[in-house]
Amino acid sequence: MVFSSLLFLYIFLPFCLLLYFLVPGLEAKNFVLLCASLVFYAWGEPVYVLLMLAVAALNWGFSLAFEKKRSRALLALCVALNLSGLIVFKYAGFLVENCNAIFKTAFAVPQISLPIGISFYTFQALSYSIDVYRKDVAAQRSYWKLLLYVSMFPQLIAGPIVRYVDVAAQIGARELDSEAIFRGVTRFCIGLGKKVLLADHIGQVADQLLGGSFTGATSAGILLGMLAYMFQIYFDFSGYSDMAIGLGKILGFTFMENFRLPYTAKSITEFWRRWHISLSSFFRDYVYIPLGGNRKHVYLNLLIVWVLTGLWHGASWNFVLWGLYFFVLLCIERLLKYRLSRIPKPVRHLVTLVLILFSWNIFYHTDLSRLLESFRILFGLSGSGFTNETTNLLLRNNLPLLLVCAVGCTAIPQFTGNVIGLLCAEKRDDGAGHKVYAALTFVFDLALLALATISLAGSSYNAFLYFRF
Amino acid sequence: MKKIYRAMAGVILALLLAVGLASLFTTGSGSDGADTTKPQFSMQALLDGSFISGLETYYTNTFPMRDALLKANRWLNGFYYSSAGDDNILVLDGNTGAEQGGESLARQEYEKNGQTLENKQEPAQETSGDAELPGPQTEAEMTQPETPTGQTTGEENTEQTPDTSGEASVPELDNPDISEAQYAGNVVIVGDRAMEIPTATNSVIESYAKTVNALAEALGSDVRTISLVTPNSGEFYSPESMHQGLNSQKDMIDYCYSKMGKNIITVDAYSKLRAHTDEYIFFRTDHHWTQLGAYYAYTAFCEAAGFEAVPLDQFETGRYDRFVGSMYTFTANYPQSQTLLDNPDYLEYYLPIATTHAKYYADGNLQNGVPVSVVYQHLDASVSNKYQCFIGGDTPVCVIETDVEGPVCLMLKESYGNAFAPFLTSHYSKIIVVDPREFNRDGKPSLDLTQFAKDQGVNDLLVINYPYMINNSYYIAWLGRLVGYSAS
Repeated sequence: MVFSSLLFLYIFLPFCLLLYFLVPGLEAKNFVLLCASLVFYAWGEPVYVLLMLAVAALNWGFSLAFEKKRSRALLALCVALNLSGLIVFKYAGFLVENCNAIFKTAFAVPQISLPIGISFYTFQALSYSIDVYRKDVAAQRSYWKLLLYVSMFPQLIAGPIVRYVDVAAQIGARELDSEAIFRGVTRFCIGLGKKVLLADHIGQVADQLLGGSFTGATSAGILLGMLAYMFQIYFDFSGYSDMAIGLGKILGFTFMENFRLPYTAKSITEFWRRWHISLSSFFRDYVYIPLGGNRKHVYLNLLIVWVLTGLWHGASWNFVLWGLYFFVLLCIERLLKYRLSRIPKPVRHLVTLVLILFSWNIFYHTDLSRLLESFRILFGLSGSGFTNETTNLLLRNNLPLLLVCAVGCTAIPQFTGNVIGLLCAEKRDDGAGHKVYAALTFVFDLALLALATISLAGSSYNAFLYFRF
Repeated sequence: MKKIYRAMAGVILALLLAVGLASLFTTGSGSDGADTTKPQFSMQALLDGSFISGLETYYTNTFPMRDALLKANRWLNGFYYSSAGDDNILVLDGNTGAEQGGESLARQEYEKNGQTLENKQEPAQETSGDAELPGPQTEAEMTQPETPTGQTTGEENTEQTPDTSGEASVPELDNPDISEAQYAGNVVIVGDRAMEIPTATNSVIESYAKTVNALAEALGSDVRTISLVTPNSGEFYSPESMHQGLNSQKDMIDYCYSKMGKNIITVDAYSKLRAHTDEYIFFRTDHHWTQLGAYYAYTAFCEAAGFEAVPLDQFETGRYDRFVGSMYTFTANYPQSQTLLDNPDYLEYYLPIATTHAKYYADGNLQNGVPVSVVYQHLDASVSNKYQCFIGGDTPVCVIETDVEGPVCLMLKESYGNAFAPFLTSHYSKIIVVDPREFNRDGKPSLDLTQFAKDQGVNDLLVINYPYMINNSYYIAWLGRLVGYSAS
């Protein structure tokens, strides 16, 4: 199931929450949450839910074993088994295809559909086992509680990749605070708005310009498409994280922040400290540092991390290319650190944004020939000109949305919210100001919910049904 | 303060619950054409995910107050598809699906009787008594057409469905590769006119030309092959750069004709239309030409094919006052379409001079035909697509017999041909109109055009298309399949 669907918003979520709040005691709440999470996953993957149960069982067993005996061989086996699941279900087709291409073999390419969220929950479970091995955290005796950690529906499908260390205590004891719940609701609505009202719409522009035929495509068209995709991927992904964090808050959990205004970064290094933080910190803690980190063969370590980061995003060469692109940029930044810091901040910011823009074009095109073609058109090598009327009209049609997206990527929305909060607090110091602020937030939440509902209903309107003549 | 937070969170939860509960009991009106049938449960459907996705669609399509939400969404789209200024402009991806098939009066009536086509489609080879066309007709439109000039006799209104078994065998071809089938194009609204803007893909246009060559070769040298590629309204009424360069329909047509064999008679409809762009030759709310536009193309056809065109003033005419067409439907979700609704087209038709008898058939066996008017003068008000007044819209095969002593014409067309066909009745004794989209693919009957043309004693083959089709590899594939040819 996805958060941005009417079925989730109006059936799954309210009934799940009603049950969750009605049942007494944490044990019962955990049980409701676990059942809801399994239903949530099985909704989209009725068969693969078994795979998730197995991954949880595997890591539950190994971590109990680590408590008895800290064996490196056992750890290696645990990691290998976790990764083999990922390799079979995510990379088998890719590996066989490339094997066939390189060695002229003719193995049948396995047609395995990717289980939703496998990359996220495998990494979560794996991080748990490694943490137990490292004695950073005690092993969970209860399989069900561990399964709850692995399968918890708010972050199951698109992260953040929550560490067991961070939520272990909360699974056993957490408080439901009405203010936190309300803030959770607001956070969820903001995330929903980002996904449904911004990402899904700007995504149509991206697909229209990057996803269709390149016949007649112009430089400006590709540029606009790339920009639209840059907005789409941020609002989509960070919107999902917001919804996850908000739902977590409603349920009494605190998940780590996953995005901190990444497009305000002034270097690629900084960008990766702000983008998908739970993933980059996973690679830092479980790959980069164990390899030696900054202390030995740092560039080799970086290379490994970035090839893996690329592959994690998908089983296709363009993702590897995308990872390598960042590897090169990060190496350059590392080598020229002091010289780069002398460049004025606005210039650094702009250059960083342009580099990120290019990276998303690599990310978008899983077909390498189309990737190349898009860059050829972008740089005017296809002879189709800089722009045309269609691109101009498309720009005009989408100008308001683009502006909202551009502002939405900055600190302005947060800042505005804070200013309104301060203004409310200043006006009356008897606490009434807080009430005004809360009431404004409430209206804001309802408005977002209403707009998202309208947009979700509207997205099912299919003109093609009519246009058959 | 805690109480306030609890109350507000509670209100939101209660609201979601209330809507959720209500949603369980609404069944949906389907007024926007959305499918409101419940998905069928089966273990297989559950495991492969189709049941769940069907349930999600069903839920969304039957959501409480869906009509009001769609209306609100149209308002919201005013932001997402802003005209950004005073002009009324909109540009959309032009993949309209027109190559997939057409719509006909009969089909619409068929649906009116409570059955959906999708449920009726069956593999062509096995269909014997249950083909999708023709369905039961309503009396007003099919059995008793007004016939002052005698288009149809209204004889034998058969309730039977035609027999489609035992058709000639045509080699089954693979579906065209989807990446090849990609074609660029846009639908735009500029002011109160909506247009399709095709983009040329020369390799695809070339394959169209080759396919026409193949049709000519298959039908043999005794049959004249005439090609007519017409521009659409985008060529004349869109902003300049939308009909220049890769968007120049003149260039597309010239290139297309240049790739055809010398034996193909090409018709320069372009120049005739160009000379009359100040007249009402294209609709503004529909992607078709008006019949006046078709008439100018017809004069070009006559010059090329050696006929003497009937002067315009000799036709008896009539008109439907209000017509809001396909371009409106395609853009109805966007506020820019409002001007189309507010400024509807009218449709003027020209009646055949000859006495005609026409029937349409579900396949090439020409069994159990259903009478058709060449031009319907009294379409029911419920038929919003007035363009269907020409030969009743798109049917697989429509045979028009006239009292004219003349040759036999086989016309291959999409819906642009419909308004054109009535003019041919002055020159041919028989006109057989075939829609290539209706044959030789999933769920459709097969047709071997070579044999069919021989059986029917065809003298002229006329292939008539507009630019979206000559740039569309699906359509081209279906055109070629009629004679077992594949351009790719």
